[in-house]
Amino acid sequence: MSYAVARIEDVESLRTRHGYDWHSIRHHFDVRAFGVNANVAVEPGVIVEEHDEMHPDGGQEELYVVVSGHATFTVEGEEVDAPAGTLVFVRDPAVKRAAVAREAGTTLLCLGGRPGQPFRISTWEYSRRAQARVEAGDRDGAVAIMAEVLADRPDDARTLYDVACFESLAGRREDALEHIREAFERDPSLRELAVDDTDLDAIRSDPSFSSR
Amino acid sequence: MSEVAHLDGLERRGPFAGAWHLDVRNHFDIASFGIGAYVADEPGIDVIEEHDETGSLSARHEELYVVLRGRATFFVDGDEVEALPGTLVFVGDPATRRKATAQEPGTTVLAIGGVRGEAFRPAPWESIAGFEAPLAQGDHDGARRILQRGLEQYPGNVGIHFNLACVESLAGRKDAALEHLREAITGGDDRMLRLARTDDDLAPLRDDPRFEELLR
Repeated sequence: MSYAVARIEDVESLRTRHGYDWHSIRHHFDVRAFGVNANVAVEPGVIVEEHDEMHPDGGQEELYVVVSGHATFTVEGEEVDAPAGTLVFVRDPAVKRAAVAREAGTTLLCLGGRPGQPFRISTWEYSRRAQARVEAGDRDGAVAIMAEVLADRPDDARTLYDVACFESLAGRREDALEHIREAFERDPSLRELAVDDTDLDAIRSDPSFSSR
Repeated sequence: MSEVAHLDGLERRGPFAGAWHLDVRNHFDIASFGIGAYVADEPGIDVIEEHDETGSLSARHEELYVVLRGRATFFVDGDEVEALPGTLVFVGDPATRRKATAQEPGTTVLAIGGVRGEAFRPAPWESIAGFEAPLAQGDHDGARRILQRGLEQYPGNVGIHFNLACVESLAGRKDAALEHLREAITGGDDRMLRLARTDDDLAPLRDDPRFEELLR
């Protein structure tokens, strides 16, 4: 079929650790020209966790559209009242942005892309879907999701690191050790992240881990 | 840097075929994807006019439509789809014909687009947005200026040449009109020839033998 239809609430979702539901619209339709997802508040509270776009996977300008309900954004320290129909555009990747829903059911459309570059699916999007598989008890399914992104960007340090985490969780020790070694080689700063990362506990005891 | 706006506070352009265009992309100067909202004040208006994404003024976008308010009926690829607020309609194939008709006053649809595998670049139609307003006032010079700027961004674009032919025709500048029409018709898009046969703006040219020759 040359088109597809869905309602936001019917698009597959996962409950984030902040308590809102993240509906992966981009993945659902396989949109490849821009990033698009929806955050839906289960109850009043965080609906966009505070973040910037300065991480290696970032660089996106972002537009938030309040589709329904009522939110309060905090952008660069300033509060913005955002009833349905409000558009909040954040161009500068360095700007910290966050939002809380003031009522249950508040729905935000989150759009993004990198100016001057073809759209590239963020590694975090794969990781988030993989984490949902882990929480559902399907660790092999999580590794399969990460294999997709690894095939797309086999030399990306953060991707290698995330792949290693899910392989570690799935008990794929040798694969995890190999990928964490490659990740550290490409970006030594990831060693710091690994120190407290419990996802890697299964391979931490390997004598070679500390030397990798 | 961030900017905030509300749909009700954005400048309304048009109406085009009955629907207002809220130019979200230009309002914020978004550089990585195309986005606009369309508003129909009355039921029965095509809030998304019938089109595909293969025309000379299009950019071959894959498009996602999001119904924000009211109720619309989408007509996509021969099917009818009822769409309440929160409905998403994704059209991946640029060749697919699509339109949406408002069923309630104030029906508002957000349209987001871009090309797979390519950095975003505004569609040619965006480069000439607004030329109809001066044209409707009889300001041919104003309309021509906007279209010429579009042609500088998209040299050889047959759709822009065609619109320039219309403006020059209405301005009584037959030679310029025929030259733009020649560029439009010989540019490889058969639709230009069909349009030339029916567009009333070109009526002042029809008794010119050069017009007949171009259409042969």
